[in-house]
Amino acid sequence: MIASPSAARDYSGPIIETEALHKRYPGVTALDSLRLRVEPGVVGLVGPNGAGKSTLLKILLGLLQPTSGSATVLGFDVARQSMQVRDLVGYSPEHDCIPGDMSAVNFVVHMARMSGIPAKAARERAAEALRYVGLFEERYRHMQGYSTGMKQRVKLAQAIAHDPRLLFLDEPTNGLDPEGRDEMLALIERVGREFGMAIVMSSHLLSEIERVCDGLVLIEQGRLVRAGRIAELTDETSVLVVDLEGDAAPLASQLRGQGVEAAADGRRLEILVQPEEALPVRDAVVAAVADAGLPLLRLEQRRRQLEELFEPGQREPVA
Amino acid sequence: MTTGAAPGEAPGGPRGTIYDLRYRPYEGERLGRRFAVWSLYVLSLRHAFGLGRGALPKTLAFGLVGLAFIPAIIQLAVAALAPGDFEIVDPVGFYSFIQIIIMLFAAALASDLVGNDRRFGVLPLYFSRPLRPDDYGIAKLAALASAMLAVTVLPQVVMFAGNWLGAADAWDWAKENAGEFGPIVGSGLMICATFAAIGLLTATYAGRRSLAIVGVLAVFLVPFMVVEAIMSISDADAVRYAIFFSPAHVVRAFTLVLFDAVPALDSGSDDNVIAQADMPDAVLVIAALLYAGVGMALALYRFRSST
Repeated sequence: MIASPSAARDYSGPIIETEALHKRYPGVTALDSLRLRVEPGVVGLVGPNGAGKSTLLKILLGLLQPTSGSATVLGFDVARQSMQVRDLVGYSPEHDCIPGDMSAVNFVVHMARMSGIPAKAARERAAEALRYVGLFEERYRHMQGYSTGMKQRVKLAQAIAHDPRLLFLDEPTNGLDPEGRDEMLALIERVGREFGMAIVMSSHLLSEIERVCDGLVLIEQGRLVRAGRIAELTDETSVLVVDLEGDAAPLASQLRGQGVEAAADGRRLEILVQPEEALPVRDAVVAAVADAGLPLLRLEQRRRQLEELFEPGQREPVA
Repeated sequence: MTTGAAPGEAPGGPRGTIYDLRYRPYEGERLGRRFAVWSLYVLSLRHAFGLGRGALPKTLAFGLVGLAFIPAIIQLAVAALAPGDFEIVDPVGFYSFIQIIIMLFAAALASDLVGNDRRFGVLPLYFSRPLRPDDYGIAKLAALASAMLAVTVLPQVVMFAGNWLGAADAWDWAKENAGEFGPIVGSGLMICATFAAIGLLTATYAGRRSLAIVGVLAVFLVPFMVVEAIMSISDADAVRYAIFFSPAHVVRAFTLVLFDAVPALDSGSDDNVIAQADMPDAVLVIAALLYAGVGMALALYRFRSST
């Protein structure tokens, strides 16, 4: 446990730890015995809508009480020490939280003051935070005319203005067009790499997480499905892609007969390969292709995409 | 959207670039929770008067303040033109004279103070910061009660000062009227506290702003009219207790007690209902204090449980 706030700023243990965390609403279990340990870095919290991502973030902030179980954030217990947690955390909720009748600069100044930053410093930090997120002249305008992208930026600015150690960003790219999405992801990446803030970012899009995050927590129906470093998760297995001149289906079923996890997609053969058996599988595939007499157009081994690890249809290769 | 270059940067940078601004961590002082509550109070008070916001809230708040000042302005103008002992409205009667303005002010501002943060979804941002559950409600209550000084104590004090300056013999006037200053402030503060508490409490129950305004007005006006009506048609003993159901009457009675001006029965006073109730002064004072105290406690409870 950490004694003082300044010591907390140098904390280097896991940013989040939960033990048998349970949250039940009438008729719905939002979190089910969630056991989690999240190391510092930029961490993606992924899961389908209703998986329990927002519930988890709210419990970690002390906005919701868990039904049972415990959780710590930056070493502080969220139930008993939520004040210390909130001192060190910045939060950008999923839903709109922008008061349209205020200017961005007044809003961010106010929110910095709400985190205890003195008035003068709050003005300086708000101006800087808004510059970091790319809002300049428009920050003096009332926010009711802002685009979704500008609002998302203000939400990020108010979350970083008090220089937190950890950011909770709930669906920060919600409602953005592809270009706005790219810009927001670049911004988040920069905040995580350069500003020295750990980030937990929820998203229902794996591609976003893969682009920005180095760690990943996947939850589904309130349960932990997988957690770890993305590089390790995607290195666990790789895919051998074989393009043929002809139908790949007979070859796929032949290979499956030999115990190889092969799937056919038209003229393409995709084979799941565990690292230790990469060479023998490769040899078996080349031999099978030669036996079938099909011209081989391409044979390529690549790392798996996150999506292939988790999308239900692609968890196992199917014919 | 990055739509422009930062001051001092070369213009025409490619769209979508992240500006090269080095991040500065914050090493300075952190003032904690009290400062946060103070900041929320100050912002709520400013917003109550529309400062830093659009034209509509400004017009509404300052319009009602202007109306509350009309008696004072006329009084001062007349006193300046024709010095004498002329009074449009005396300090005892002032608050009931502008009662409807006070009610409108409380209704409009309470609905705004409660509704805005909810409508825009700002509450999660407050509660993810180091605030305790009651801090938000305390800041809002204090902000509304303070704002209400502008339609209660302030015009009275201006009128009081103006009358004093306009008096033929300032010393004589002071000797004669100084005793009214305490009751002016005391009764004004009671109105601020009670109306702010009941106003905010009522507004937390209304989903929409218009409903909140109507609701707050109804909570003050409906019991007021009902009590006036039943006490004018019945003189049964039990009816005397009806005034305790009308916050406006209870606060009015508190004012009369403070000014030592509870009228005699059937004296033709506007406050005949209070004369008719014929309650001991102490009971009226306690009733008013209870309205303010319980109202605030309930309002805080509502803020805590509804957020």
